[in-house]
Amino acid sequence: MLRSLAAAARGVRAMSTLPPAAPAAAPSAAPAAGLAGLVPKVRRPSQAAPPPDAGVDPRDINDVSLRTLMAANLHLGHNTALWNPSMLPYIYGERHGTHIINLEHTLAHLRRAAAFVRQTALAGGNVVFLGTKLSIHKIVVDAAVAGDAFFITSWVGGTITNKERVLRFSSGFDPSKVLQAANAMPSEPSDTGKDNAGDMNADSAAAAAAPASGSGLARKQPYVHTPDVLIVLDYVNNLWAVREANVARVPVVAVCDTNTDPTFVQYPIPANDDSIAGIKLLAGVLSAASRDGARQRIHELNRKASSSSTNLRWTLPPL
Amino acid sequence: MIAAVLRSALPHARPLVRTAALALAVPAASSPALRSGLLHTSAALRATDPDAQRGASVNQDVPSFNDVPENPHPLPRPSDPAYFTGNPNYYNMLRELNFLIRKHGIPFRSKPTLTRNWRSMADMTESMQMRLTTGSYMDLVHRLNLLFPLQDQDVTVRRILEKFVPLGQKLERRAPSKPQLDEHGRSYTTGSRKTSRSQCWLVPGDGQIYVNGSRLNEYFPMLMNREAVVQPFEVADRLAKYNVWAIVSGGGPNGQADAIGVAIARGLAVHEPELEPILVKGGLTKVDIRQVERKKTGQPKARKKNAWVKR
Repeated sequence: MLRSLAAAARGVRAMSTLPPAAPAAAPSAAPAAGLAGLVPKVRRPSQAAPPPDAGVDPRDINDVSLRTLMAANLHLGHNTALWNPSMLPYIYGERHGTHIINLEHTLAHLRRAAAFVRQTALAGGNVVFLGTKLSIHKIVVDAAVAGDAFFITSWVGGTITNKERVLRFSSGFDPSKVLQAANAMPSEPSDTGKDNAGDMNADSAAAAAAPASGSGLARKQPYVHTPDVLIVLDYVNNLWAVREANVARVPVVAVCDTNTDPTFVQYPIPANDDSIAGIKLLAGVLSAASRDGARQRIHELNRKASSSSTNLRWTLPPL
Repeated sequence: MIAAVLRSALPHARPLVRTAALALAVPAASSPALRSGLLHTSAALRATDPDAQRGASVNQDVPSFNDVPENPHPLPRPSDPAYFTGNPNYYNMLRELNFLIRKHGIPFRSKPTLTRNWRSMADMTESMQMRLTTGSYMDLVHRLNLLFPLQDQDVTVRRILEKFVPLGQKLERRAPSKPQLDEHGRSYTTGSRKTSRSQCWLVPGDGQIYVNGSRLNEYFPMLMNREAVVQPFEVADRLAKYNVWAIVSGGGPNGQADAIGVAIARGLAVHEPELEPILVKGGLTKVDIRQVERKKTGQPKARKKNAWVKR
């Protein structure tokens, strides 16, 4: 596996400080057996065909190998003159004036990111896919829907740091309107000990409709969700989104090309962000991870509910 | 109501609220296996479960947790995947339309053959609680036009398109009715130019023309204006064949004359439809939409600027 990668990348001047990919001498039996145990088998299971209009093919992380990544052109970086020096650890070398990304790093970081997304979904957190390039809109939306997550195809500044205002249509509560109502009518001091946000109804149309105080107009701001992980599929076009996530301490998973700065990203995936097949592959892996976490959570909740005498069961939305 | 339709129409419809109280999709009493809480990973289940086919580890392969990690938020997750867009109604509508377009195999870049007028941007913004820009509105309208020819084939398409029809109109596109002669054999047509508006009745006759109750030469002393009124008859070679009763208001003499000319050309086309191509080609039927340009601040007139000063 590793030797084939070195053979394919012949003619590349190694720049990174990593040990060379292929050992100089023929490997002895014992290390090879240990190494072979680390490399995942390339399974080609007969998968059910995804729906014809699916923009993403959910793929388990164990199905992804270096060969898969290379076939999706994820190793192709940008012109060497346009590089960001912070990407040096992830660059394998240079060929014809463009950088080549080290796919071993890509795979390791992808596994790390997938594990984190899976854990977040397991805890019931909000996984958000962000991609603003028109060519990947469908990938972003389908990855989110398949992964039981959320999508953003056009970033509005303040989605996290000004969420009460920006997400007013989603939450069903307009903070500016409430202020106007308060100015128009004298509002009594509200003596509500309970918060309306304690309602179990996630669609707060019903929650907001129930007024907190007797005047009927002094409604309290219901809880507005924040992302728990922001998966950025085109980092170059969404610097402000990443910056806002950093301010709000939302972990960011991002596909980092050779011209981007990975230091702002908590789980960078060094890979080519211009290849649509590549983005489709990465989105598929992360979407599958999110779905796995959600599925596991539902399994655990159902298991707990079965031990008690309730008749309630949760289900995952179908693919 | 929109939520109810979305729930039924969305291809990946999910229960609207995923909480203990409301997501009762699978009744517990369906099978002994479910009641006991175990999900058997039989071959049959694996064959039908798309997650298992994908190669994901099925539930029993993964060790169970004693405690599922706590939800970091005080409320359960929202069910709408477009929650964080800040514009959920627009994106959900777009997804529905895209799904229908793909289902019927219509290429997105094709030019819509049959179009109609839809709700205006302001109307959609207000009634459907969408945040719209010109670009996003035109995207929506393009998709509506792509689906418009399929309104009879698919009930789902029809139901969605009906939401976007302007108030008081039906979805079917009515062909605009052509003006016809009334019971006295008169045609009634209108014309305009700048701020003048004219109404014209044409009837076969001997060439008398009355404007606001006066004869043509009394109302329009200038030859240029009389020629503008009579030009359609000259072009169609129908001088002294029709009588004209015209009412005109607004504007000045030139504008009024041109307005009457347009109305007369349209009236001629009603009386003799074979003349229509000639009149249309000559541009006599078309209203000149040019209006007086507004004066700008800091300038004496619309285009005239103040005297240029070197210092």
